[in-house]
Amino acid sequence: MTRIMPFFLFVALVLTASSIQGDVVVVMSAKSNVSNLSKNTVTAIFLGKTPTFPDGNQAIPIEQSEGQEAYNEFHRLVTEKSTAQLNAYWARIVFSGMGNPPREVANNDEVLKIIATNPYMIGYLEKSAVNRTVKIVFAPQ
Amino acid sequence: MKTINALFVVLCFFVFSNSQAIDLGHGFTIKGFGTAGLVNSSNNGADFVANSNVQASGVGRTNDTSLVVDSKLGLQLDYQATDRLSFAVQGLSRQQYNKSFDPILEWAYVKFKILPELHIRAGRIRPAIYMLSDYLDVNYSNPWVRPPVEFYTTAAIDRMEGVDLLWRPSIGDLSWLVQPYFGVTDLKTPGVGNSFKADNILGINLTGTYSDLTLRAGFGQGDITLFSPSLTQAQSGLNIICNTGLDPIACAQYNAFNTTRKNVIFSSVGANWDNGNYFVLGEFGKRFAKTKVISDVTTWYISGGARINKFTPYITYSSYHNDSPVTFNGDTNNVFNLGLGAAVNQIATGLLQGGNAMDQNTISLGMRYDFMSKFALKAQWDHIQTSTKNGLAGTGDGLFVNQQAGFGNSPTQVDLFSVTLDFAF
Repeated sequence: MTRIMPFFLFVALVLTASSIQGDVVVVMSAKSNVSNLSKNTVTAIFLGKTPTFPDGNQAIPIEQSEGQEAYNEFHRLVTEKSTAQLNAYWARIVFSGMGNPPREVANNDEVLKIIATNPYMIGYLEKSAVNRTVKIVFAPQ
Repeated sequence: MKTINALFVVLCFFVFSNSQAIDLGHGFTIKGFGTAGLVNSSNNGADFVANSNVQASGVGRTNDTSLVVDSKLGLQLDYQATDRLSFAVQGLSRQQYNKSFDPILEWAYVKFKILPELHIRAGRIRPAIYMLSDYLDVNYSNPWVRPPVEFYTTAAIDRMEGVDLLWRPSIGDLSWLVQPYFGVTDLKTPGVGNSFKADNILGINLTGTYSDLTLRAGFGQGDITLFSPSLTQAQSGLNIICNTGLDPIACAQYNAFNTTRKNVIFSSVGANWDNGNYFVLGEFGKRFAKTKVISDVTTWYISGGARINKFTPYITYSSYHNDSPVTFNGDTNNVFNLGLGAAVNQIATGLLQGGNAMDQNTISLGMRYDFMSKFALKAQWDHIQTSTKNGLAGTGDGLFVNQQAGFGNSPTQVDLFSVTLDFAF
């Protein structure tokens, strides 16, 4: 029993690690100078609460369409808002002239295409879609 | 006006039939929001209104059940001219001071991005007097059927011609909004010939957000001039008595009740905590006025709720307290003023009670149901309690309008049931 305990522990750890590792990652262009962002910073950028990265450069968030798998995962794990809450939130911002919701693209491929061209853009996509034109700046747990 | 109304209706039809913002291309977009709401009141002695600074009639005395209290339609046209320069106009149709639903131009401004975190707006804007100022009319963006009336009708400046700065620095995970504003306005209010002017509207809104918590402090002031035939009549009554030279108290009161460019201040603090599953928010505010015609006020509310799938049950308590005296007792024993002292007391007491809201608090219980994207159905029960000042007859009106004679003579309880459908595209 004492010999197999470490094995169970190891299995448990691997299982936990793989299940808490989300399938969605936050990415920027490989050319960007930004390396790591906190969950709060990413949330603030995607909710339009802060217009810049911590280094002072302008931040341009790119959303995926409502209903996409990555959209659901990202907002569940990062902004922690439901679609209804996000709609209510953006209604506040839009109709008070404080800003506009992020530009929206259709899917993971579109995110890759647009992010690769602009070092100030930040987006999210399913981890399996990541290629070398982008780098991961935040991986939600 | 007819053409504007027709245009408004046609545009509304396009936006709402599509249920989404319309991208017209070349940087133009049209968005809309609105509420269809039905309210029933248990009391027919006076009218409940959602905004007593704007609405001439409501539910209760005029009708038991009414569509006019909460229903409204808003349309916004945005034009992004360049990366830095944008324009916005917003028209809002809701019940006005004259009971019409003619659309009013609520916003019309140009916005310029000086830096990514620094924007300036100029034109017709809403001063950021409250935590929820910017979206008070967009019911879809708030949990409730309507923002608590006790708090959100204390400062009557719904819009102004002016400028504001939006500076959004962030330090680590802390995001700030520093929003100073300046402007003037001229607004019509319910009652024949009633309006007010505000000069030197000057204020600042400071908001800090860290994770789920937002803290906010606001200071706003303006030099207010009131126009009202009944007010002018009362003021000239005091002036006539003053000019007889028999009662110096009349002169002092004539000055105290002057309403030309009198400073009024509204300061408030607020907090909002929202972790997605639960939320608590509240604001506390105080009003101070340099004219006795406008009362000093202490007002606050607290609200909390939970989000359970598509349902958001919530509870709110809100309170409005008139801090000014409600009667005036000058000298009635002075035989040399030939009885004019009693007339001064009567006019002054009338002015203290006449235009001012009296003490009221409300407990609200409600439920929001997000049954489909961009639509919310809400049901709310409000239990309103007005109270009298030291048991004085005529001081129990609360925030009700169109009172029947005698409505304010004793504390009153009113129950409201409201059902609304909100949307924002």
